[in-house]
Amino acid sequence: MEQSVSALVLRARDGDLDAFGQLVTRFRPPFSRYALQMLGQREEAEEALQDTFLRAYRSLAGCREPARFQAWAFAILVNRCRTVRRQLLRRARRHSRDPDALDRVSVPHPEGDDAWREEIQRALARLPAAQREAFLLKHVEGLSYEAIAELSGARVPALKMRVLRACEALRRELSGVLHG
Amino acid sequence: MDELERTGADPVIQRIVEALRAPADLGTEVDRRVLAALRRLPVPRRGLGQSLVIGGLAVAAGLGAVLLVPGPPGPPEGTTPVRFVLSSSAASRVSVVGDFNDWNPTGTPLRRRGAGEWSLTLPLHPGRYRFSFLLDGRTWVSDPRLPSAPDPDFGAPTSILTVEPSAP
Repeated sequence: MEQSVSALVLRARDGDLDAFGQLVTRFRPPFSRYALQMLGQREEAEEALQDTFLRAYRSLAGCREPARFQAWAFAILVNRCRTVRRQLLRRARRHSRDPDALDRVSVPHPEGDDAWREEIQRALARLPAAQREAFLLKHVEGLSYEAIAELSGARVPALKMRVLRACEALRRELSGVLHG
Repeated sequence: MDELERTGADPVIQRIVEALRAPADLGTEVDRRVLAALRRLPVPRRGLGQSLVIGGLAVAAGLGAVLLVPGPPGPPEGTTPVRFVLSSSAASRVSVVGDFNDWNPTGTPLRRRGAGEWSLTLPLHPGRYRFSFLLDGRTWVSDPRLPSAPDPDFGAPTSILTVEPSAP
């Protein structure tokens, strides 16, 4: 029988790596999706995901509500993605005269060859990171603005504006593809 | 629902969101690497922290500062105690947010020490860190004594802290 998240967290806190492994396996897919969409590059998404789980394990004592492990670890992922994104930007600046090139890279989707999905990924990658983050958290991950504010440290009106701008940009870029 | 939230009901946005909600998985290799890394973790040892002091600091109202200070016995081996100090009588909560805590805005709160004085000592490994103070969850304050770096993505003013390796 599948153990509850709480039970696995409590076992992992006592040093049971197998229990933690089950948590990783359970939450890898939803976390993968966010990391891939936020970072746009598989290698960096893997790095963010691995760091997230390693840091979560080392900080398990700080997970005050074991049943809410997913939300707690997801907050770590959001911040890891920010850090990895900053590292990517720094690397891009060192190697390119055009740091914005990072936002124009073609992003392969793991699901493969669907043209519509590829267009979406390209449009998403061109959004400023703060807008992309707010859009994904609000509309794809389904978080409330208050929850996003708690995660990001940004204020709710600013987050609403980022989501609005993201929606406008995505609609502008993709309406033609959808109706064309 | 306000004007901004209605954007999500747009049919084009709905099609985009549907596609983005499709499963995407980085695969079981991630699990294997995570567990392999955890099995390699050494058992933490504890030792004395290196004492370094940067003195002569005058902290103005609302400004933050960082000091490398003598730490209490027992910081993790290889780390240097770094004291984060901020003076603000208006703030009701203050946290330090940076590379060392994955930019978690609530994970590392400073403690109020007296009238408007906030501080916290963290053991940090040698390295270069970007950080900022966050007041009441909404106002970002950098340390004016340290080099600053613009945050190209998220707009918060950030300072650059360099922690040197401890002397043997």
